[in-house]
Amino acid sequence: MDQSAQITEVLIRLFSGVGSFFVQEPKIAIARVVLIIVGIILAYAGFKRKLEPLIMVPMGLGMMAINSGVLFLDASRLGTIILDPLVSDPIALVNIMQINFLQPVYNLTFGNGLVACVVFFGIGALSDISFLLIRPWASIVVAIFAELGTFVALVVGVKFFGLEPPVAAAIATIGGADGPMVLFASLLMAKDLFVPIAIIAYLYLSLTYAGYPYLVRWLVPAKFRGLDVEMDYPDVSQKAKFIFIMAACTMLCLILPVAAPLILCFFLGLAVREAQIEPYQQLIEHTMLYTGTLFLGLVLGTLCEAQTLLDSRVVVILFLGCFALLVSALGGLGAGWLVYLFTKNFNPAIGIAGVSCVPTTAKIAQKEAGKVNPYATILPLAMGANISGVIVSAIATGVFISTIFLVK
Amino acid sequence: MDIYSYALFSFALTAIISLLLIAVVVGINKVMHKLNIQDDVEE
Repeated sequence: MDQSAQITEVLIRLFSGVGSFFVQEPKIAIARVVLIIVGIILAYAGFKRKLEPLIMVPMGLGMMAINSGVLFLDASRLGTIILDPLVSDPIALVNIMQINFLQPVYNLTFGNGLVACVVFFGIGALSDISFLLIRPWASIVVAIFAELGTFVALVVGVKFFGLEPPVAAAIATIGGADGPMVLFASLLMAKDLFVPIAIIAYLYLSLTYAGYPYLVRWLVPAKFRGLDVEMDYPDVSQKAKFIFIMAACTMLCLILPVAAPLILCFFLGLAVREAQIEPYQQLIEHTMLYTGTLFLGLVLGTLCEAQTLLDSRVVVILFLGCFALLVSALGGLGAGWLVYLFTKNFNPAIGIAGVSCVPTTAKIAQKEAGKVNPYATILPLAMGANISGVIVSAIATGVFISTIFLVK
Repeated sequence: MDIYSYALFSFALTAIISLLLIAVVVGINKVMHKLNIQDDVEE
């Protein structure tokens, strides 16, 4: 080897983050550059509150770091010391857990759905079941129609993209707009696509923050968006609410045992709130929910390696996920109109809150109504539709997991 | 079952279970109101 080649070799190894671009396949090197830029854009969009900051700031930085911090693991192998989601051999896994700092978090909380359950605990603790009792039937009807995207995307995935039914079902659950539910469904129905499905689901869920307001403005004219709704806050004792929670949790666990971990966590969060067990409430609402969300964003970002995202199936997931969320939003808004036409005492914009991205979609409904009529208060009803959306998403996921084998 | 029938079946099943759940919640609410069950007042 001549001297200049030796110097180049030393430089590549010394500054391996940059040097690795020159020794990798060009398409992977280009994808890395694109993902570094996308990561920075996502983190900045989170900072500017254009996208959901709780997820996008850690996710964007994680995406940037995993694609920048590439080094030589041995003489010929490139990798990072952050995370490797593809290790499955038990001995290799134990070894790598002592090197990659996020590996224990990924294997012990992501791979088994624990992080989804932790986030669901928090969502439960933040939800108030009395919102659901203001207009229970309207809330559930809106939520059922706002789940439509899940079922339509399943058909499109199988018929037009030739996906296996469990894989199509796992991707279609993005239509429920419920991040933990998508994680859980993909772990049980499409384990080898768990990583790209989870990444795309959360990317899209953050995009709802940016995209759904336009859809509301487009489909609900200002005259109707500003409608104030007369509502009576139900006089429900905490004892009654606690009994509802126990009855609903028992019933759902009996009907859908496959979704029991998520159902249990959601209703336990609700139960802790209604039982006013303050130390637990503080722990779940703040420490657990935000720790879970932070690591969720960070791990999702670090899963965005060029190699993983160059899988050809990612394009299908991108399309189906977007399509499912669009159809769900149309379904929810359509149901909002339906309830308005039947009762005349409903704001059709509440329909968007049936898409169960708690509390984002409820806040979108209130914000859009408030822009037209500052006195319009629809947030309690929107939260009712939102909580119903979470319940319907859990039911739909459970139905898929336990009956998808029926498709021949 | 073909995929169209399955999608209809699973959507209908999801809707039925959801409505059933709300019926239980509304039913309990009515019973609790009828029985006038209130929170215990701490002294």
